[in-house]
Amino acid sequence: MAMELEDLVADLAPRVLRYSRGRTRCPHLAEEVAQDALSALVQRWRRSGPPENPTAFVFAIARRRSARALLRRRLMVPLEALLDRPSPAPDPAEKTQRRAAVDEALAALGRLAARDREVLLLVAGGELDLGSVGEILGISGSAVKMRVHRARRRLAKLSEENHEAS
Amino acid sequence: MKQADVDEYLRQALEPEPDTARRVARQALSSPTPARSLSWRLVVVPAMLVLVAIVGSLWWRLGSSSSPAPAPAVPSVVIVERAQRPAFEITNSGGVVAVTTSTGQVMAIVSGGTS
Repeated sequence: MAMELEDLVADLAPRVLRYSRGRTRCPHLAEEVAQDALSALVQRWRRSGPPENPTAFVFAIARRRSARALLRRRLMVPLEALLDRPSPAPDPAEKTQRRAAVDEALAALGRLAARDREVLLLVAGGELDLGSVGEILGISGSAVKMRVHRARRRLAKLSEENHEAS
Repeated sequence: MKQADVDEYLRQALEPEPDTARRVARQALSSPTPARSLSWRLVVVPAMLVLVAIVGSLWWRLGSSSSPAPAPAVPSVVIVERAQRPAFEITNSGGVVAVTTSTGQVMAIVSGGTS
């Protein structure tokens, strides 16, 4: 049971990090969100056994925490500007190390509609199956499939436009 | 870029550093498990009930103390005894009608009327 949990957490960690990085666009917040979501799974597992769908459990928490982190950041940015304190994100050192591909992908994701971005991050970043995505978003599998198809098409088009412009 | 490549493109772009993923996993596994605590509902709901009872009691007491003093007791039913005899008497002697009270006082005399 312990090994099973460790393996699951090790498997989920990069997936949740990818998802939360795409949602928050900030490596620090992404790490915080992933840490919270995985800790919640570990605590739940040890206290009352594994949830019915551990992957959906983790991503549902990551989704909520990401939204909360983004809201908190939006609220804190004016306050930090008022207090003349530098905002923790983006970190200049991190910014210099950030790859161009990450910037491009995040920019393309940012131009997608929120619903399309969400579903694409869960499927591509989190590697979730359509059923789990439907469970997290509260929609049917066919609706997820349609949204994923639309999001992929839009992102491919945006990427082509970026390449043509550059 | 083809649609089929979108997922792979995103995955590669958002891929975290291996160290970061390992660190996050390790920290999650080492997070302390909180002791089983009472559900918040078991604490909050009785506390709310007690609070409502206290506030209600205070409100009731304040309401009863600030109400105006009660009026003096008034009997709700007045028993009027029927007079044993009529309070006045009407006599008609030769077309002269007189109303005489029980004390013998003549209240009115009407004469010469046709009705």
